Amino acid sequence: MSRSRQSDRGRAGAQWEALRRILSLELGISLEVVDAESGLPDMVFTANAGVVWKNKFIASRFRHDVRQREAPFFEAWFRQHNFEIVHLPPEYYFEGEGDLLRCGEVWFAGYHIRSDVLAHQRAAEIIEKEILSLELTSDWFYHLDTCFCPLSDHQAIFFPAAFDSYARKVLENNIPDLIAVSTAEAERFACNAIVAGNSVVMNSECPTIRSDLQRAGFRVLETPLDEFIKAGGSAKCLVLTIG
Amino acid sequence: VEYFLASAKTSFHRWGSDDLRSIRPLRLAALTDLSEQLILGDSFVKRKENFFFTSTIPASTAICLLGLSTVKFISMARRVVEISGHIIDSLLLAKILDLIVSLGAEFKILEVRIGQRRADRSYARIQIDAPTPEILAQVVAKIGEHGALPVTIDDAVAPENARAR
Repeated sequence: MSRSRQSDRGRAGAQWEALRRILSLELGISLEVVDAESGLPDMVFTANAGVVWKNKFIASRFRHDVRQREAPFFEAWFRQHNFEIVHLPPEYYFEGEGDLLRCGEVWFAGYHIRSDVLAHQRAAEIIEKEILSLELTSDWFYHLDTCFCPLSDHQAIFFPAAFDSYARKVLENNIPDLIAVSTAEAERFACNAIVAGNSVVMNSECPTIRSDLQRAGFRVLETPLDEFIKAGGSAKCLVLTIG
Repeated sequence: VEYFLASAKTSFHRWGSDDLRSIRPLRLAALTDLSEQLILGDSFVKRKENFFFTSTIPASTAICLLGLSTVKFISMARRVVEISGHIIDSLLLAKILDLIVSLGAEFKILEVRIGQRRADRSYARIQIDAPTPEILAQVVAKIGEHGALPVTIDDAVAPENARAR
C-alpha cells in the first residue's frame, strides 16, 4: 500500500485508537494486537498478512519488496499462537484477506493487481471451498477488500467499476442482494468496512451508503480514517479475522 | 505438388460453400506471390511459395469444401494450455476463450471436466492455433494472467492431481 500523500503519524495513531475502541468497547470484539516493526509502516494493514482458516494461517506472499519483509513477523505471531503455517507456491503472489473474502459458502478472490489467480487454486484446496476469482481493473482499488464487502451470506456492497465485466457477472450470479457504492464514496473506501453481525464500521463521510445500509437494517458506525486512506487502506485493511 | 493452406485471420464463415467451390485448384495454383490474390466479396486468398493464406475462413474448412486432396493444412503456430480450478462459475474459462478469439487466434477444447460439487475443481485443456508465432505468444501471455498454463503437445495429458474431484 502506498500513496503519494504522507500520513500524519499523530492523527493516524488517534484514528487507529478510535477504531480499536469501537471494535472492542462498542462491539465487544476480542482483539489481538501485533507489535509494529521499525521500517514497516504498512504492517498496520494486517488484513494483508494472510488468511486464517480454522487452525491454519495461509501466509501471504507480498508482491512488493517492502511488504515482503512483513511476512516473517506475521508468521512468527501466528506460530506463537499455535496456528499451522501454510505457504502457497512461491511463484504466485497472494495478499491475504485483502484479496480473499467469504460471502456465505462462497469465497471471492481478487486478482490481477496484487494477488495471482493461480494462488487462489491452492488456497481453495486448503480451505476446501469454492473460490471465485474476480479480476480487479483499477489501481486505486488494488485489493478486493477495497471495492467489495460481504454483509451477510446473501448481501454485499461493491464498487462495480473496480471489476471487469466477467467479475461483475459472477457477483450478480452469486449474491442476491448487491448494493453498489458511488464513485465518490468508493474512493473514500466505503467498501473497506468491518462487518460484525449487524454492525458495519466504516470511514466517515459516506452518507449515501450509510443510508443504504441503515435501510437494509444495519447499524453503521463511522469513524474518521483519512490518514490511512492516504496510505491506501481503511477500516477493513486494519484488521484480520482470526476466529 | 503439395500445397499448404494457412489461415491468416480467424473470422468464421464469411464465405459460403458455393463461393468456395468456385475456387478451383488451378486458380489457386495460378497465384504466384503475396501481391496477387483471389478476391471473393470481402475475402481473399494469397499465396507465398507453397503457402496459401485465406483471409476469413478456417483453412481446414476450405480444404474440405475445395476437395483438394493434395493440399495440407498446417497451423502457423499452435500451443496447448490447461486451466483448472473453479473456472466455470468464476467465468474464467469463458474469459480465456473470449480472449483467444479477440486476440486473433482460434481454440479447440481438447478436454473438459466439470466438478460435481461446488467445491470441486474443474479442468480444461485447450488447443490454440494462431496465424503467427507472435500472435500466439501474445495470446499465451495474456491468458496466462488468468490462469491458463502452457503444456507441450507431447505431454498434454492432465496430471492426475489436476482432475476434477
